[in-house]
Amino acid sequence: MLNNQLLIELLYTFIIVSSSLFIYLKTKKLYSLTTHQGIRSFRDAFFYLGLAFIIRFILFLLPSFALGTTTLYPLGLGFNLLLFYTLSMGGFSLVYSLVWKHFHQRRIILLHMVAIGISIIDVFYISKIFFIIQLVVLLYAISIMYSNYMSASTKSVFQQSYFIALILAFIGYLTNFLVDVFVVSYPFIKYYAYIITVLVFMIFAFGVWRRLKWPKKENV
Amino acid sequence: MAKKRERLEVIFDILSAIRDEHNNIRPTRLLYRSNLSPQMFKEYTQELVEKGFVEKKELTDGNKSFTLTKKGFEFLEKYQVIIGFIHDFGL
Repeated sequence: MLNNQLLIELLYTFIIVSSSLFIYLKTKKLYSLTTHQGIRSFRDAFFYLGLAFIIRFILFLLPSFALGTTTLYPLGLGFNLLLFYTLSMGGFSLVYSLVWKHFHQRRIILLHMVAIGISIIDVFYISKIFFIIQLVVLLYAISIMYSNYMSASTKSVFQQSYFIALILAFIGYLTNFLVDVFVVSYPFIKYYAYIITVLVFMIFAFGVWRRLKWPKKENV
Repeated sequence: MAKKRERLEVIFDILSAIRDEHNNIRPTRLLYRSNLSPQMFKEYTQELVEKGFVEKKELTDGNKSFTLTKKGFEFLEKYQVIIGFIHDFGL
């Protein structure tokens, strides 16, 4: 049973981290050519999310190591803080990639401070605050994307897919939140959350791959 | 009134102007082709030189000229893909 769980967690982590890494690396050239802030934030989002899922897997493995509670507790605490920070920064960076043009000054430092604040509050004070904030952030991203889509003069299939991916991400987070609260009663729900999350990352990775088919060299 | 150009669009216009003038254009001519104020032109060309898209050369007659680097050509080749990506992802 434990081995099955380990395999599932390993596969899940592998798919998410690979997708995130793929997106991050595939957009490297794009960023180096443009130094576009939106592209930078988009890449950062997947950097943080990939890192978050690695930390999540480490947290899953931690209890299996023969560590005493005096070592395990602070380690677990530290990794939890990092997990919530990286997940928060992933969500914030994705939203910032959509709205950065509306700000005259860069707000990156502010995002880091808020992400650190959320992780501290969630770990030490109000559990579940992270989930609630991320749900609000995702709802905001969905509204921005919908607004962008409706006001675009040309509408692409991928814009629709991106919108659907954000809605799925919202459902995934909501499912994760419910799992966290009701896990004792409905443990199987978490696997639905896993499937949704994998689907979201696949949509983004496919979109990046599809969109970034560089033209063959031609005389300019 | 003409719509304000985005930063990448301005860069594309500047690099295209250099390419169209057989990859050798005087600053005054480029200023005219770029349709920018002298202040903005100076800022953009400085950025393009610093980031390696463009080289500023001194000619034998003492005048200066701008030429594209390999990176500048690459930007022009990939511009449509770049714009498509930014549009699709709402960035």
